[in-house]
Amino acid sequence: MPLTGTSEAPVHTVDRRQSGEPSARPRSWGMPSSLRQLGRREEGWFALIILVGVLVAVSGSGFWTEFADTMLYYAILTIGLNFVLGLAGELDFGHAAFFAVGAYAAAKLMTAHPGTDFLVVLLVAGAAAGAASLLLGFPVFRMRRTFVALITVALAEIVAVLVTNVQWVGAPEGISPIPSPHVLGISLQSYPQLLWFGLILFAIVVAASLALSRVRFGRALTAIREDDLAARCSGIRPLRYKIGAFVVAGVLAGFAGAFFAGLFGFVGPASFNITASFVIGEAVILGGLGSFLGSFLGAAVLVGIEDLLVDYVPQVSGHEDLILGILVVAIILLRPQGILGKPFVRRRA
Amino acid sequence: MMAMREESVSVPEEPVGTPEERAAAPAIDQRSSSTAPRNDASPVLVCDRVSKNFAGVRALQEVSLEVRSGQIVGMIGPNGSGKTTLLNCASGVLQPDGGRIVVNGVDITGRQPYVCAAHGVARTFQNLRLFGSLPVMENLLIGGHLIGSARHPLRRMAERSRRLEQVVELLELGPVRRLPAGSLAYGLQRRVEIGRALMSNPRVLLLDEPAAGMNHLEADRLSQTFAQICSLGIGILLIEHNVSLVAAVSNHMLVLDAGRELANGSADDVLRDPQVVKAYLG
Repeated sequence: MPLTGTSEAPVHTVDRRQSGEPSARPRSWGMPSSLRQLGRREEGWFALIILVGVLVAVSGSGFWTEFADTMLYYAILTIGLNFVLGLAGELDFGHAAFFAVGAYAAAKLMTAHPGTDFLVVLLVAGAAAGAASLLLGFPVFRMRRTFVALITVALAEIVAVLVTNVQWVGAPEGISPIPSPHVLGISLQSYPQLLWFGLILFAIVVAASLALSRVRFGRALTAIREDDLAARCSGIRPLRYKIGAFVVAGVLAGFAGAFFAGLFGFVGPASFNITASFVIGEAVILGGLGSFLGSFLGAAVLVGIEDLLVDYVPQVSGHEDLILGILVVAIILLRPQGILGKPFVRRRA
Repeated sequence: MMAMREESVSVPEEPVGTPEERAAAPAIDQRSSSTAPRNDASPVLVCDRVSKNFAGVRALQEVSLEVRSGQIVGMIGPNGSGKTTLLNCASGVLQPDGGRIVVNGVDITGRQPYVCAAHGVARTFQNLRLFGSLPVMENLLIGGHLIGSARHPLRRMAERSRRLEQVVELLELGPVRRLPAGSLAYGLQRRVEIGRALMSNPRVLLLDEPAAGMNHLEADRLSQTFAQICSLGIGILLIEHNVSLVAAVSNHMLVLDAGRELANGSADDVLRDPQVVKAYLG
């Protein structure tokens, strides 16, 4: 049988260790094996990232906490978009539309009812953006892939035009000032305070996303991406799962929008233009489609260019999007699966 | 195995439930414990005068066949004779232009593939359609998408992993379960695809040239696997170019030529049919 030639390597490793065979030298550098295994998985890295965030929050540095806050809401955006772009493989380039819905919902609620707990604001913003994506998901995913890209771009443009022109949401002036958020009686006025809240939110978002991607839901999305027909023949309804992914992305974009509104105390149309949608999409592609850690990394690179690089190299100011674009093109040429994406296995003919 | 299958065993009527109920029943367990072979079982797949045209080409002309539970129906015919078209119609991939397709007593003519799957149709593809970058295990778990009911997510997970163990054992995929499906040898990929189809606990398994690209040892082993699958009470519709393999395993054979049924009957009768000899075997 051909089976005998392809037995798993790890089996042998375990056997040797159990039989007590004196191996030439230790394989680890004194690190416990459980920790090493965690390092190979995404949750280990995310734990490390959150730990770094906690250190930044403890340090209380104004610049770095603002930097971390910005990175958090971008990361929530890219992680959400990864469900559609990475797992389902649908070209969604209108993510800023749902970011806008969340941000404006939060801004309206916080200005109209300043006493509202930020948790409620967060849920309302998530629900608003989720409902918007559910409603729009039906027409969007009736289209084939290329048209999904076009229609989502159109969607983002429509939302951008609406928020620039509708007086109810402040038109070009936007909504400001938004009162500073408070959670369970604790006021979140400063960047470090918001960072603590943001880290908890981020941890929940990451845990939920990783879990969702590894159960039946995530598996069905991956199946649709890999082979739509084989997925359908296995009993998967593509439309249902694509809309599901779109809604998950929408809810997360709503959370990010609320956090954005709470963070800056100002919501205006300039943050939600068509470029914002593309930039978020580029960050996901840069990090690696399908990898949540990659999505975070993409967001980190994006915020790194916009906030750090511009501070240290003032000459590039105004060309942030260009730099990101060049990076994305370079990545697509040199490493098509993105920084952390899984390499493609070509189907045998 | 052939001799065993010819014994007629009286079997109580299978309960016909909703897809969820049907999928929830740990059918593999129950069936494997009973002395399964049953020729008098109810038909799991009935194709009744199915026709299909492609822009003027009559790919299928009123082809009828019946697959009973635990039975293998072999379908042979030259290239372009409509074998895969019939299989596509039966699995919902194509909509027939005429005729009816009934699975397990339910008319599924022209329904979507996922509806057909929910009613107990599972299939493999002539040109492998595995989820190549995913591990074998994930491929199988995707095949088990329909197992269990949404009301009991934990029980569903347990059922799915139990089914996974059974399928892995049946198809001997243990050593490769963590490897990406696309990286395996051709014959193994074929087995993974059969495994993925079996994961959904189907009533009828449609196999499109499962032995293509296999050496004769692998093909031999495969025909034993077919017998094991049949003993679970699953009906098999088998398309295969390897005539001796089909003849050896089939209870019933059907020969298609240019979209029409040329012959129909037991393997011996069909292969002796002068029309078949003339049109197909030369």
